Amino acid sequence: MIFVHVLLSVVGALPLSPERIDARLAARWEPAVRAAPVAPLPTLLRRISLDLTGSMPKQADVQAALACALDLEGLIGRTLESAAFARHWGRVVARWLIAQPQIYQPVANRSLGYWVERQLAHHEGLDAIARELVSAEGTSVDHPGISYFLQFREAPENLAGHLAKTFLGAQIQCAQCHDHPFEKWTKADFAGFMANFKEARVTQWPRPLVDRLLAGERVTPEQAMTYMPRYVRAGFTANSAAARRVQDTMDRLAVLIGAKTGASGSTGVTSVAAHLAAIGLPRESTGSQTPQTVAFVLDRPDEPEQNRRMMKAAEPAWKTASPRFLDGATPPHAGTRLRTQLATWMTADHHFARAMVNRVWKQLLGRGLVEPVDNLYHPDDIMPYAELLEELSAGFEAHHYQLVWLVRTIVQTQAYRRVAGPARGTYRFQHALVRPLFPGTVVRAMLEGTGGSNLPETADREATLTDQLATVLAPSSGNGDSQNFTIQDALYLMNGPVVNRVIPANLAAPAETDQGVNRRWVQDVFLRLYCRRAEAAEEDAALKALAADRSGTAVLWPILASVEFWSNY
Amino acid sequence: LEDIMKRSHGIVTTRRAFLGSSLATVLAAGWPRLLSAATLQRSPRPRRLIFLYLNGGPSHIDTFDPKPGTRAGGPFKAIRTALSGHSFSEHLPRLAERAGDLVVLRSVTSREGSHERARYLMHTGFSPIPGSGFPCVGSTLSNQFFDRSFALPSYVCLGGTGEGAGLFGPEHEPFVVRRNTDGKLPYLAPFGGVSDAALAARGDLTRTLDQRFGARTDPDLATRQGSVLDRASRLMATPLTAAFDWKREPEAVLKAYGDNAFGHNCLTARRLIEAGVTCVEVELDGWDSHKHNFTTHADLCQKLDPAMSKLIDDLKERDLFSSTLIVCGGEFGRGPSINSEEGRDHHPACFSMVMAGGGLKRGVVLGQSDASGDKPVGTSVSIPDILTTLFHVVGIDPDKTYQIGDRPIRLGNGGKLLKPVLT
Repeated sequence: MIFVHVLLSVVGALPLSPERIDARLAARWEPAVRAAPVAPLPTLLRRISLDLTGSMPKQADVQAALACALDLEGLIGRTLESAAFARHWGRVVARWLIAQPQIYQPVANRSLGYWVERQLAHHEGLDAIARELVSAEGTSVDHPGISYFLQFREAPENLAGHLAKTFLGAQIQCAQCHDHPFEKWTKADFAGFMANFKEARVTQWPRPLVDRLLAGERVTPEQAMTYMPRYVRAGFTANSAAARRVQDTMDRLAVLIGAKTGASGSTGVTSVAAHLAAIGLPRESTGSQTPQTVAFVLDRPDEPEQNRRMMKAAEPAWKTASPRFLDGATPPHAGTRLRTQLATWMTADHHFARAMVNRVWKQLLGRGLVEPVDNLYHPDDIMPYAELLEELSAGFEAHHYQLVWLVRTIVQTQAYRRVAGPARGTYRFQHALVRPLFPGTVVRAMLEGTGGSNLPETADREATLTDQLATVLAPSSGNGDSQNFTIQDALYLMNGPVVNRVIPANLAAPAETDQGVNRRWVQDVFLRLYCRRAEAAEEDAALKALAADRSGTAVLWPILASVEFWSNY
Repeated sequence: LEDIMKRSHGIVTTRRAFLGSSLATVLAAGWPRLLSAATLQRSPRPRRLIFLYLNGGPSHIDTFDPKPGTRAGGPFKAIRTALSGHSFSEHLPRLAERAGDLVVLRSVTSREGSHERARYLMHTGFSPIPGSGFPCVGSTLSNQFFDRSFALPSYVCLGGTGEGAGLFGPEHEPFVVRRNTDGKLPYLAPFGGVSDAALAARGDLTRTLDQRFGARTDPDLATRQGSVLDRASRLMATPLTAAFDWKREPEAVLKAYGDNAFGHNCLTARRLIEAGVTCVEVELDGWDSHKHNFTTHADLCQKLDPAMSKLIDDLKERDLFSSTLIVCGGEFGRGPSINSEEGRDHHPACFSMVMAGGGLKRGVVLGQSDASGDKPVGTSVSIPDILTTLFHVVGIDPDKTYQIGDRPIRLGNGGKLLKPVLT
């Protein structure tokens, strides 16, 4: 094992060229596999722009690509260093962290996404981001990453399962109830891993109370209780254990808030909004699911948690289990917070880099080197690309887990750049796949493609539009890795106000009936929305639609409802 | 429904161009379903489900399992039902009269005590596991009895969102109508009065774009999305959407269901079932009465009682009762303790649910709770038991196994069949 690690570290130090990655992939091709050619430059431009920034390319770049005069490599280099890259990948990584997309998708779009974006903009590696997330203490006002824990407030057991799946590619959730039938995990493994979180307390308090604490006011437990719902207040008495717990929580929050703002005691601000401004966070970054509350996570090593769930006859096994990591080791440092030790172990574990590489690969190519993407504990003989995954992981580790390095390496491969083909049958990365865009990206593409004047003024506006598409119109099933295009989405696109009123204002159809003018207009719309010219059959159908209805919508909505527009390919 | 068809002919002809099909085509798609009610009577099993979901967790003690004269019983009186020896809350007089048609389960237990999780369990039979994608009951029925030629969605949720289709995919997601205040579906009509010719041209352009894209890349994907667009287009064209228009019903019928959103939705559910929809879920929200439990329950029962009663009457009158299964209940019950604000808190340890219709005996009370409604006496009924029974009744094998990732799941999650309630 040591030999393998030494070998890998040597391999990782070598430059991992895109050519070598392609050679590794080609080595797995059966004789019948035929590699597709590299995609035309305009297609590649759209693909890379959507993948790296979640935005459509600039029209000037589209024109340059059509004229074969685009410096694609230079553009990739600039884009990877841009704020747009951090912004988009902040949301991509945040989506990995969402366990219940139906409820928490807005959190991914806002607080968690914003938090990861900030870390990426400061060139933090994915290991540092994961460490900070797993060991975070504080309020959702100071630390939007806290939102991650909110998802598991009702069922903390799911936290261990989700964390292991996301960051280590380990499917331990089944072992919560029974020893895993096919994998190595036992109930004891699950309980031991979950026990790393037994100190953590996730709480939501009313915002007016937190406002007072932020302002540095002295608040007694009795006063704090006046902000709580009545059923929480029931039975509360001064000098009780509950009162001491509330006091202790307030004291620790004051210390954490003081540490964030550099103040001791009073922060000199009087509200959550003012506090956000003081520490440089936008309003939309607050992480609470409901704006009336503020969530916070604190560790309480000295106090066993009371079972808050209203019906659990038996204490869960993890509450009495000794903390253990998935490799069987125990937290080495007595007196150090368990979550901090878990975060350190987790990001140093061999599987962490593999899990991250596999997820980024899937994001860019539509399929992981290992599938399912969150189960890496297969024997190597049923993982056709085990060797490539090891090499990429070693390179990623050697480059300090920098997302920019990993994305740059992958988008330079032929595998990434080929023409798209069908997903059916055995897939060997011999062509690209058609990948559905996320609703937020679709919204941006709609707004950007139809002109600048309707671009969202704030991130929150875009998030709101995204919520509308993603959660209000139709509940999305599955694990949030894809967006189901439902009947209601289709009806909304066809007949709703966004496509019919907001967007056409930017792209009004020509008033004249001259076919030459109309053709130029159709071609212009295709360039803006598809980044390509219309084929003859498409142009004819578009002109026919335009003849039947002189509004721009006649051509816009079929395009905006088309598979091509909702896809990256 | 013949009436719906007659009154809807105008819609058919004006949307014909967009559909790119003739009136005869639409009728061909619609009529077999419209005529199927009679056929269904001959079927040994029901094929329809109406789920009246009482969101928030109703108090069983203040509805179907009263405890008069006890401290837990609260201020409500109990009234006699059509079933000798069994009473309901005084606020459910109409359902009490119809108890001879019901199956009342009085010892239901849930593993989950928080709304979100218990709601998921009630809809799927499984506790939630992130990313697992267990399908909800409505989606399972939709998947089992899917008829591509039928223009309406096969699983409709009125007044709530239901749960997801999970592994069964987008075609079986609930069609959600949160508010239906005027009987018209949102975004069903073309924006700004587009002509038929313009709609047809848009449809042609969409098809051309998807076909060309499919030919260049992945034909399967283009077909799948094209199918959703096609279903949306057909929904715009079909006269069957008139089933959503509860306002077409006579005043007396509207009044009998109750002039409120739940009443309108129950009436719409009946119309949708008549039209051939497989599963309709109607949500009545607001039962989470940590405070003011009794005023809340009195108010909500005044909505539930007439609407559910009239629904049963209507289904019987139309010979649809034996081909439709009705299930009514919330995610858990509420406890015997009454708190200082006259509220009751969550109580998953013991509560009641009511079922009625095809495949079930009439007038059965199964299980009982203890003197205060706190715990089951004897055998309890789990949520998987109820779902297993439901699947059995509608003709789906509850032990049918699907694979989610590397985990095999059984639709009924290993529940036991409630044989005493089956015909």
